[in-house]
Amino acid sequence: MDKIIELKNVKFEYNDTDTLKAVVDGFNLSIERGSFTVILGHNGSGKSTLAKLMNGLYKPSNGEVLVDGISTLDENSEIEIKRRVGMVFQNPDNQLIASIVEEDVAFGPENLGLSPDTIRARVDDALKAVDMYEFRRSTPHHLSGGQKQRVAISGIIAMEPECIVLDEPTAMLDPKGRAEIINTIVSLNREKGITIVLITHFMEEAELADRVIVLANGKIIDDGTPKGIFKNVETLKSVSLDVPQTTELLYALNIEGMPISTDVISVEETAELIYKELNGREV
Amino acid sequence: MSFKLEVKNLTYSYDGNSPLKRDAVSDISFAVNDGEIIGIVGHTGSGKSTLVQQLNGLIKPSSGEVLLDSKSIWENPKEMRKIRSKVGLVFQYPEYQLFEDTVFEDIAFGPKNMGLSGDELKTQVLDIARLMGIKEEYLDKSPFDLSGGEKRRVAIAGVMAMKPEVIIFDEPVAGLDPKGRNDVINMIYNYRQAYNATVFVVSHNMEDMAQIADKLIVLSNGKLIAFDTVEKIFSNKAILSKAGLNPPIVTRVMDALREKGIKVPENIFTVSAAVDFLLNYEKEGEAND
Repeated sequence: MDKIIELKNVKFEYNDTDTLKAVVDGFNLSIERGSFTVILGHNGSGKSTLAKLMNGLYKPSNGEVLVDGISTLDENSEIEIKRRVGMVFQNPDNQLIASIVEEDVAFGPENLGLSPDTIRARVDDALKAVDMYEFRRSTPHHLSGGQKQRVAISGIIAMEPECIVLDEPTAMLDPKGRAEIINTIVSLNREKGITIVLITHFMEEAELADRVIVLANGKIIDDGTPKGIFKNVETLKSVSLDVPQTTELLYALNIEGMPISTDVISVEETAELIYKELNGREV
Repeated sequence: MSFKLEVKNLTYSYDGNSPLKRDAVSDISFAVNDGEIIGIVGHTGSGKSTLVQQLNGLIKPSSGEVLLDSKSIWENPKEMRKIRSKVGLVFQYPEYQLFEDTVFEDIAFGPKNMGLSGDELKTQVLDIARLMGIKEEYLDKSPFDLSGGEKRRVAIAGVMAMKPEVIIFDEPVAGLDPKGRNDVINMIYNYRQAYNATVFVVSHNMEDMAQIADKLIVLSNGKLIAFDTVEKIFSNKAILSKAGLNPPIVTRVMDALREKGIKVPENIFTVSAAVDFLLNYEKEGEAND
């Protein structure tokens, strides 16, 4: 299989009051090109460190991180790596710099030294991809949180990356803004084939991924499809993560003696399962 | 009877005397008692933050009043400091406001400004730390050495240490992981239990609201469109959709079951209530066989 990102035996440590503390150690992970991966983990589980290792913002102190086969330790390839893997952070206000939306989106491509025509085309395409084209001449601070975050994503798309790593992009947004971002991410993955690594602690956001990785204390404790992961309710709870409320309901019914499958997530599927169970008994 | 806090025809307009005049909140009235936990819900821009900032006099209403113990909080603006120690406001991401050298100093900052010192100050800080589950060995640490969730709890404890009679939380669990969320929700609940305080919680998360709030204020475009018990509001689909909100996920599962013909009551908002109902339903079904 074709890997866009590979972490091989990675160690990363930081200086905590003069003692080195390892956030991850002996860490291995590969992300396949074109996939949509969600990384779940509690606060302090190492998920943001992992994100920053993936595009060379952090360099491993041991082992290596390969982006499209290029090591992030190779100083001459820094631009090549940043071009391939774009990052989106939690707070949209910290990511927007220009006073007009389209200028902000153009910032990246301008730095790549592209021709004005190419820049114009890329900016338009990138704004359309996040459904913000009609706001191209607005000022960012007049936009909602979800809209600002979409502009930030658009700025990354304009760089035409292979992969986008998003570190809790919806943490500061309301439910509407969250839905906007998740829809944008899904369509970038499905329509443009961009590899997505989404770091979050909202379980509902994991539902749409191909693969979910659960991180606790710098280690992968589970790795599989969303349905497969959420089945392991106890594992998730043991590392202070919650499951979606639908899974929690099915799980609780099981404990109370109603033999019901726990591998569905959506509201409709859950209701259907419960309905069948209740009706099966009545007939 | 008299209420703890009463809001009468409150209106706040931006750009008051210009053609751009726009009401952020408009003609809002409600009254709450001691010991009540009130959720304030509404979409972004519905006026939640503008409303709560008027409850402790951080911004002055364009018209209308806020009465605390039946007295307008703006009656004597020089006394505003006193009002603010009675009505505490915990901002969004309060951990960004930590600045002292130790956790103890940070929690003590508010009560110190109220004029407390020496043993009295120490007792008050220790009381709150104990009530909120902040271990004593943490008090000498730098707040910057704590995890995100711990910082949040320290920042909240700093407001609680002033022992406000009314305390307002603006999105207290935003950005926290599930354990952090539970810790903060427990803190809010414990504070109410210990001091019979009136609590306002602004949140987008209906699952959290189902767990903690007694009543909900629903805002939409700066107007109060409902003020009622959690049960009444979560079973009123028209109000929720007008405010752009979804009922808790478990309630949506129950709604889907009702559509399939199962007689589900309208007041199921938590997983445990749903489990109780379904198990009972199943048993009754068997009994009728």
